[in-house]
Amino acid sequence: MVNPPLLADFLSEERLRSVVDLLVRLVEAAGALVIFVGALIAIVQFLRALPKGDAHAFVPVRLSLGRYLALGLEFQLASDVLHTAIAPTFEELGKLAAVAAIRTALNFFLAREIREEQKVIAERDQLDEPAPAP
Amino acid sequence: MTSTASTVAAPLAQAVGMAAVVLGVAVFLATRHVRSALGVLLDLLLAAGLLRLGTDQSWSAIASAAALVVVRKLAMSGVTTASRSREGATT
Repeated sequence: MVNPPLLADFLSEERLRSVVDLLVRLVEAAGALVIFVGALIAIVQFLRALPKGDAHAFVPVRLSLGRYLALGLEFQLASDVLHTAIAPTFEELGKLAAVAAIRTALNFFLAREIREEQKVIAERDQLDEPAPAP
Repeated sequence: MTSTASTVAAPLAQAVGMAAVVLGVAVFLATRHVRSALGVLLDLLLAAGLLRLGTDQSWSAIASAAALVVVRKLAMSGVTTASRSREGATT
């Protein structure tokens, strides 16, 4: 049986705050890492597509960058949600709400753009396919 | 984020932002296609903005990130509408 005063001491507000703060930083860093790695990969792929001079060659790269950004945003939104547990002032909560709203809107638009670009690529692939022999 | 993380992430965001401008111009020069160049520029600028928003959560950083989202949406829909109407006029 756990001693209640000991449990209360173990789960003190200060300890909880430091644990959540650490988790927020870890999740936020993971999101930033995903976004940076995605941007780096996209920059390399853009540079490789550049000599082709074909505008359509950039669409798959933008699609893959969009996926990385959406994944990074999911991490950052998770850290925002975690941060609400320890945000003490109305000022901080207001900033958090604004950042979360921006990230949610972006995530929505990115998901829609990815769907639209995928549709365009699928249509183009269908047009490029040779007609079946009669 | 911690100050150590900020000192690491801020230059990375700046580097991605600079790459966005350089690549946006390069894509336009290589393809003469405004939509592709604008897409490359705005997507990479968005990545830089998100990296910066992780390190600096001042009201000005939040406002500039929100402005970037609106500009990105408006610019892409404007260019898409213009190219669709051009395609419609030629067919």
